[in-house]
Amino acid sequence: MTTASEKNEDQLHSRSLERDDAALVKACRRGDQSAWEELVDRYQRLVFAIPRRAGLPESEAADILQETFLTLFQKLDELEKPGKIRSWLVTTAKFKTWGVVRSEKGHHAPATEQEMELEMASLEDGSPLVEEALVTLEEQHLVRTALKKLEERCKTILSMIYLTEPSKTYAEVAEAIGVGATSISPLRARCLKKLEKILST
Amino acid sequence: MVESSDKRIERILRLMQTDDSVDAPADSIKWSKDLFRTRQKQPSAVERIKAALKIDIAPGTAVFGERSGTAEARQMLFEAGDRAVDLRIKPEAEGYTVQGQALGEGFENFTATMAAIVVSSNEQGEFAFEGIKSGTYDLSLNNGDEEIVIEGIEIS
Repeated sequence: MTTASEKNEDQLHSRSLERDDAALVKACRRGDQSAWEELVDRYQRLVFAIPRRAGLPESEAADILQETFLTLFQKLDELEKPGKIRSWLVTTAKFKTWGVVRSEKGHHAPATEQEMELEMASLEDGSPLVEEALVTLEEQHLVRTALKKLEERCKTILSMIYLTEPSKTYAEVAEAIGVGATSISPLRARCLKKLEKILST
Repeated sequence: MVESSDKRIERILRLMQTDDSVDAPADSIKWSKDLFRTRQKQPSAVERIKAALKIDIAPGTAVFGERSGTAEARQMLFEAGDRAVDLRIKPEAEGYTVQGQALGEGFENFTATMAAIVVSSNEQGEFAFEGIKSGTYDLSLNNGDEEIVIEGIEIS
């Protein structure tokens, strides 16, 4: 047995949290409930954001989220590329959203996936469902995921400086984490570098 | 063209600051999670291998392979065909922690089941259960193709 098994539970836990998408899908196929829950937790916000961006109310967006995970559940054993589950979820949520948007305009939903693809390819640039807008949502998902992997101190520093409105001053951040105010600027830069590194791996 | 680090950080910050997404409603998340409980177990073509106990070292005795020092945990080694399973059982304030590792090529990404608890292995083939109460349990390690079964592990 390697000494790794003697490391503390947190390390085992964090390693388990970092299971990649392919490993999660494979674990789901073996009936691992915790892997399924991890998958739902990992992607619920991204999936929910797609119908919301398209202007659907919360209740309809929630229905689309549920339908998307139901479809995943039904097709779990057929997915050819388990490592591409993020793209699969985005595409599925996009199609379901487009189906609702379209029917609300009085049109029937397209009969086939190809028909749907053709319609979506003709969406105007400003549409929240064009590829570019969805790529931004996926990138935001990746940044959120990377932020979660940072140590607590970095999370606090970056959140206080960049994610609170109004942004906190260096003095306020320094007080919150118990260091001198002059340390904040280099710490901030180091945390951003760490975030960049996580995103590049 | 390769994006410079500064530009990349700028882009990351822009993505962070424009991210107005929110969590889906809690009941929808719960529904999506609970859905999986209805999944039928697939009919199995999994090869089942019974493991046999080879070494069982009680806590407080000399650590296997070391000249000095005693183990806090009970250590057990099982053989299962070409593979082996190393188990360490340690009493905690509440119940026992059972940590283990599957040893041998090609047995990875498995789920371990004990006392109706299912956990996934990490990249090193390690797994851990916490809060296991005294009793006799079967342990199963299943990677989808093979299942290693250890029957009747007494935890007390």
